[in-house]
This record gives sequence, structure tokens and C-alpha cells, in this order.
Amino acid sequence: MDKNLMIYPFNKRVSAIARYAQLLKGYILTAAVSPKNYGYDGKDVSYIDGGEFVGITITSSFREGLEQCDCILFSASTFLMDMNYYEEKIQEAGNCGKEIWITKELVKDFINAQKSIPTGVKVLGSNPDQLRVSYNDTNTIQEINVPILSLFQVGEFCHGFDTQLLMAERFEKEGYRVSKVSSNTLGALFNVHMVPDYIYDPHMPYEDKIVSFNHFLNSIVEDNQPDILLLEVEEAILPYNNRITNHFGVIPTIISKSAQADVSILSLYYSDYDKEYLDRLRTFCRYALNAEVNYINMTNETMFVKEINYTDPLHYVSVDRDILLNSIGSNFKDYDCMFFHTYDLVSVDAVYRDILCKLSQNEDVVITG
Amino acid sequence: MNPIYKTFSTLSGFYVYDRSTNSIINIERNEFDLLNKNDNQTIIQFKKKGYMKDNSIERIRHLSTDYLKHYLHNNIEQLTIQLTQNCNLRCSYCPYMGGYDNRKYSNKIISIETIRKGIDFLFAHSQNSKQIAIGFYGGEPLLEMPLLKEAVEYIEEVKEGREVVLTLTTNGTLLTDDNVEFFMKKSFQILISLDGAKEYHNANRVFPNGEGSFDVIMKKLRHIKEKYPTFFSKLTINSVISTNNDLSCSNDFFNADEVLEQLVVNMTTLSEHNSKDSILYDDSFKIINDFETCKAYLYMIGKISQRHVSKLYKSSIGQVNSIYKTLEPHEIKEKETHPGGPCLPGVSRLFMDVDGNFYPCERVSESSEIMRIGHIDSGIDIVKAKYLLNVGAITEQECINCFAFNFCKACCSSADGNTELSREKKLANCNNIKYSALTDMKLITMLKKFNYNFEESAYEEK
Repeated sequence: MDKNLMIYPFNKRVSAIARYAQLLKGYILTAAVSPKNYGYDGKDVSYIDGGEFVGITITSSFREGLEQCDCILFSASTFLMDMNYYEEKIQEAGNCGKEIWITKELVKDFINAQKSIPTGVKVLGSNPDQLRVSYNDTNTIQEINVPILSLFQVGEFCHGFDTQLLMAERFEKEGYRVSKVSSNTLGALFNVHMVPDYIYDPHMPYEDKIVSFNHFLNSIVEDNQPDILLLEVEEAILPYNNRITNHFGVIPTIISKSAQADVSILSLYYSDYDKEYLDRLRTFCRYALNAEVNYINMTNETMFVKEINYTDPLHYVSVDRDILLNSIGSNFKDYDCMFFHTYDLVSVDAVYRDILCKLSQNEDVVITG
Repeated sequence: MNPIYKTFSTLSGFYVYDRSTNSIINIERNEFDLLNKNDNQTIIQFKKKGYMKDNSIERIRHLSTDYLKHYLHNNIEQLTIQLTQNCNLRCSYCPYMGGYDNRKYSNKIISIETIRKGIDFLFAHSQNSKQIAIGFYGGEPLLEMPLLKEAVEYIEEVKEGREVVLTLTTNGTLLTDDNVEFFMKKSFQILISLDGAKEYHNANRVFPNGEGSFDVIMKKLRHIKEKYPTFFSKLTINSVISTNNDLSCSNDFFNADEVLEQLVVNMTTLSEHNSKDSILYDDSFKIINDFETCKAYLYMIGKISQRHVSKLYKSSIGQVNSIYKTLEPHEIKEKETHPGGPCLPGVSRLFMDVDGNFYPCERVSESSEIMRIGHIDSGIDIVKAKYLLNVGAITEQECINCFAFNFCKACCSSADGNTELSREKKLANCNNIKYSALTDMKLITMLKKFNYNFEESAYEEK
């Protein structure tokens, strides 16, 4: 039976849960709650993410939300929070007997505040118990016998996860069996196989991670017999500069070595990119990630880097859908790669059709339906 | 061919600043002479090396213009609230004393309703801002302590876990134990105005009866240091060096005074913007200023120890590192862009006066119609904000062809024409800006020559 789910505080980190609420597996979203000071009370979810009207209204009563739910997901905020406040709210939810989840980002906030994770709380998307394989002459890369659609991105809020959900939805509607793998914490709500925690283990050798993850993917394929595997990587693929390194794109690199993509989508921030820059990015993906980027998703977020001695140098600003869509329609229409945006479902459909066509034409890739 | 460049020389050599790549290049004497004559062959040689690309800029338009609406919707970082237009001092150089095109002192006090609306406004428009701050300003904000406490109470009621930095700018004369304990409890960051030694502080910062405020402030500071040492250690002093202030004496005072020894002191000079008279510092000021600045630079290159650097000039080090960051190599390829100066109006330091009017910051003239960018009840006027953001558009051709494009610090305040931005006022500042840019470049090259490590210093500063 599906569980009634409340999200708190609701913000753009978790807006995908509401936008794609119809794709939730095992959960029904009953309350999207934000503190009153957010200014979201009474507003539709689309007010936050700038997409089409969703029909889910954000509310501000924590207590009322608790009464409607079986479980509550606490999300990290988009700004600095007093972690004592989170502890109080988690306590309140616990006292009401609710099942409590927190996102992986919120775990990091607790750690940064030098606080322990409250007891009784589960981390959404945590996958600690997967088999680790030591790389040696006999334990190497296994062939994965289904087509792989990889989704990479250049940073947070690029909607890579949204793109995965939308593509999966389309494949499934046409009767294809889809297995989804993601490192996005929200994936656990959408029947997505979560990237094992060992990927982030600083003590595990890279070779072991690569082989282990490859075996993990193969086990998913063997157990589920999908027609296609959608592999989404949340972490940024490369540094912004020498100071903001994004961990040098290590996670995407490891994952790309585990499984070669047949088709790749790259999600970028909104900007007025020139052809040369896009070519360089795609060349980077081709050689560093072994991924031929055939499709580019441009999000409606743009990212600015402020001075390094600010507490957090990355700043995000949203742009109007209209600006974005006009830009895609005019600036990039002649580029030899399809551009789309997750809020423009017509463009998503066009990309889906093209992917299907591409995979169907590839003799080495068999996609059956 | 129309590359934009600027040659300069220092004791150590000859250089050219190439705007197209934002680079300073070490050159030979003969190249220096030829470039000064705009010799085409020499320019071609630099072009072959990838420098001195033709000026690509065709139009002045700030890159954030299309995003400004979204910045103002979700990225506001700070709100400064004017609690009152009254003050218990009558400092001679105060913008509200009549020497500037600005409002005068009045008894106006903000209402708690307006404060609450302002706080709600900030919270609702800062979802993308990692950290926000609320500052209390005046006049003298401590004249309205009960109102300030009500405001803080409201912030605590509505913030729901959000981290908010609280700041206060005060003349220090009204600090009491009650106030201090309140500020300690609420973790306020306090900036106190103190101009220097008694004689010079009292020359300008006086009570309405003409009596100086120095003794009152110092007595309070001594008491706070004794009773609340931790709180005291976090105070910041703002020292205004006016034209009748002896910089040498102020310098000695801040470096030697036992009470103030551990405090950070920010030194500022009088602003020319909107001043009715010219602000002229005498030669002794310049000599001492240059001398103390030079000592700071000598410390940076390891020639003298830190104890020789005046407290008033320690900030020079941070400023140099900021200047260096301006020189990060990048190619200007855009046809539309804007000189470096302006902040995004209303985003970084939104200022709300007692009547709920919005301004880009607390330093602009409150009597200027063009600087009023909105009201708490109607929001920020995006058209006006975009106009102020694109202050460079009023001197488009001059900016397009200016070598100091990336270094320009001109903001809308420098072009305040009351009902519109003033091209004449803006141009009047250009020579100072160019001089300053050139000085900065010479400084960077000299420090580099002495192997100063800018990268390492930036991290140490963090």
C-alpha cells in the first residue's frame, strides 16, 4: 500500500517530487510544506521551479502536514539553516510516530554543523549494502547487454534527474522495460536503483569501485531484464576552475568507466554558449567519459561564481521559460546536437523519438519491445 | 584595427595592458615607445601572439540585465532598515547635514508594520541566497532601541531556522549594558564610528550643542572591554578621515591606544558623490597615505614585519588581492557587455528608509528620485533597476573605448542626476577611475616582480 508522504521544507531541491508526483512508486505526496517566510504558502509548485502549472499547492502548516502523512522527508534548504531547528522538527515528527527520511544533502549539512544524525532517521537513497568486488585479473568489467542511456550534468539544478524520469516515462508508455540507476537522493521514491554508497568511500580504490559498480549494473540487468538502462549521474562532470573543483568529476568518471553509454544526454545551465565551447564540452565527454553527447538539456537555471572568499561561491538564478525556449529555438537551432528543455515536453518527445530511432538502428544495440 | 590597450612603466620595466585578454604583458622599451605611437606593425606582432584582438564591444548592456528580475525575485542578500532619520549627533560631514544633495535630519521613525513588511520581503525574495543579513541604520538606530528589539523579535518569529546575520551601525554614544547584553544574545555584528584621536574626532563628531563625543564613546568602550571582553573583541571601528583630520595623528592613535588595540579599524574618506563642495585633501594626507600604504606593500613582499603596518592600512592587503582577481585572464568576445563597476541594484544591499522606499544601498542620496527603486508596498521597479544597472550606457562610446573597462568601479551613485542618470557627472569621475586602474596595474606588476604570491595569500585570507 502506498505511503502518504510529506516533504519539509519544500524547495527547488525537491520540487521534482511534486512535479513528477504521478511517477512516484509506493508513495503519494500529501503535503508539500514550506515555512511561511519562504513566501510559497498557497502557491503552486511551479512557482518554485518555473515550469508548467502542476496543480499541487504548497502549504505552511507543519502540524497539518504531519497529520496527513505516514512518512516525512526532510530536505536540505537552499540556504544556511540552524541545524537545531531541523532537530526540533525531526523530534516533533518522531513524537507523532512518523517514518522519517532525510536527503543525502541534509546529511552533509548535519556533518558540516558537526552534529550527529538524529536517531531513528533514515537517509533517502542510501545504498550501503551492495557487494564490493576487488579488481583483479578475474574480476574485471562485464559486458552489459542492454542499451545504456547515460545522463550527465555540469552541476546542481541541471535537471538531469528530471530528464531521466521523463525519458523513462516515455519508454515505459510504449511498453519497454526500463531500469533506472541514479545518484540523486530522490531516486529512491521513484523505483530507481540507487548508486551504492561505496562510490563515495574514500578508502576504496578506484579500480574496485569501477568493477564493483559494473557488476552492480549487471546484476540489475540480470534481475530485471530491462530493455534499456537509464544511468543518471548527479555529480558535476568537471571542475569550474582551479578553486571550485567539483571533486574533479571523479564520480562521473568512475561510473563512465563501469559502463559505456550508447546514447548520452548532457544537462547544462542556461547560457549563451558558443559553438566552440559546446564542441569542447562534447569532446571532453567523448574522451573523459567515453560518452558521445547527442543531446543537450538546457535548464532554466544559470550559475554564477562569486568571489572565492564568500562562504559559498556558487550562486544560482532562474530565468524565464520564455527566455530559455527562445534561446534554444534561435541560438542553437543550427548546432549538430539536439537541444531540449525538461519543461518543454514537445522537445522532450522529439529527443525521445530520436533516441529510440538511434538505438533501433544500431545493430549492436538491441532494443526489443 | 582597434585593439584597446594601455602602456605603462614602473621602476622595474615596461608593460602594456591588453584589454581584449585582460592581461598585463612585460615589453621592451622600444615596444613601449612604438605602442605609444599606435604603431601598426607592433600591434600586428602582438596579434600574432594572441593579444590585442580588435575591440569586439558594440554596445553597453550589463550581462545580468535579463536576469535582474530573477535576482530580485530570489537572490536578495541583505536588507538595511532605516529605523530613524534622527540622530543625537551632528557630525559635520554627515550626508544629512546639508553638505550633500540628500535629505536632512528629521524626527521620522519607521513603523513596526513597515519593518515587518521589509523583513517578510527579504525572506520571500532570498531563496537562492545562502546567507542573508539584516542591518539597522539611521540616523542613529540606538535612539529607537525598543523598535529595534521588536524588529529582532519578529525576525526570530518568522525565520524558522534560517540563519540571519544581524548588523548595526552606531555612533556608539548610546551603548548601555542592556543594549550590549541584547546584542550579545542576538549575535549582532556592530560597527562603531570613531574617527581618531580626541582632537580630530571632536572636530567633526559633535553633539548638537557642539560638544565633542570622543570622551563619551571611549568611556563606553573601556567599560564594554572590561565587562564584556568577548563581545568587545568582535566590534569593528569605522574611522572617517575628513579633510580637517590629521591622518598621522589618527594613525598613531589607532595603533597605540590600549583600549582599541585588538579591534579591526576600517578607514574611509569622504565621498565626492553628491557633495555640494569639492572634497580636497591636503598634501600631508597624501604623503602619509602613500607612506602607510607602501609599508603595507613592503610587508606583503616580506621586507618588513607586520607590526610596522598600520592598523588603518591592513585592509590594503585584502584590496590588493581583490584587484589581482580582476586580472584573471579572460577574453572579451561579447558584443554586448558592461564595465565592471555596478552591483545589481537592490540585490546586495537593499536599503529601506523610514517611509518604506527602496534604494540600491544606504550610500545613495535619499532625496534622489532616480535612486528610489521601489517601495515596500509595490516592490522593486524592475525598469528603474535595469536602468541603474546599465549606468555605463549613458557613456557608451567612452566606455567601449576605455582601457579601464574591467577595472571600472563607477556605479549609479556616481552618476546621480536626481531625475535621471547624469552623463556629465559620470564622465567627471572617469579620470580618477583610469588613474586608479593604472595605479592598480603598476602595483600588481611591482608585487609580482618581488615574487608576492597572490594565490597563496587569497587562501590565507580565507
